[in-house]
Amino acid sequence: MGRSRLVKPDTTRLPISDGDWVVVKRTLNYGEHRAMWAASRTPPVGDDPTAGRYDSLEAGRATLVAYLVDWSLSDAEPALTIRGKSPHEVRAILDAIEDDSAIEILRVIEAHQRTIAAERTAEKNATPDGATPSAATLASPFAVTGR
Amino acid sequence: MFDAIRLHGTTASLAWGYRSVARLEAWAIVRTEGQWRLTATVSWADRFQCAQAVTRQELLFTAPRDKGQWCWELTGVELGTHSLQGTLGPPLH
Repeated sequence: MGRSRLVKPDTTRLPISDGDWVVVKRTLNYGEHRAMWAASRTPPVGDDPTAGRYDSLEAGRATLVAYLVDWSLSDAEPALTIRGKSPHEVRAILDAIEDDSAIEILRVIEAHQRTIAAERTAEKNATPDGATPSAATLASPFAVTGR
Repeated sequence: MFDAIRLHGTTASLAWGYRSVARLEAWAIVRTEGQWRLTATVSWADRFQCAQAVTRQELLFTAPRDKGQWCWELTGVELGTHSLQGTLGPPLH
């Protein structure tokens, strides 16, 4: 029997500077990934020819919006409450915080992504009866046909 | 003790972890004979995730109230096109 590929809504609490913390999604499901990628593109404004292209500035904020569930920043400033807020509201709140704080949180989330990816790789490698690895090279058609 | 308690509101949601999996409009919770029961109108629902969450006993009903929110675990749920009926465990907080 294979493993469950359903992404359960698990979260992880990560520390940031000054004793603050953020709660982030452990991993995104396909729908959340699609929403993040969609938000990583230049928004359509008029006849802007760059609209719809990948935009690294939008991508950083899209990653924050996709992963953030809660944080302690609202303890000192209730206006910064993000739990239960829509992506649109979270985007507006993110735009209102310090630039270096947003970048710090993004770096923490990127490190979290690398940790989860490493865990997945380790799980795959540790599975003794996992999927059969693909052949490194295609089999020769001569072997198949016997010629 | 009360024989019956009725709570009601105009906005609530069902959550699986951090995910909102249904939005409810008019809702009422009635406690009769020791059992909490929920009825509500549904404005949107992700039926697949609702089913996954209730199967895992991880589906929560949440509704705002003064200084906090109501929160119950749903132990059973029937989703119609625009309506919902559910049975609830004890209130969580």
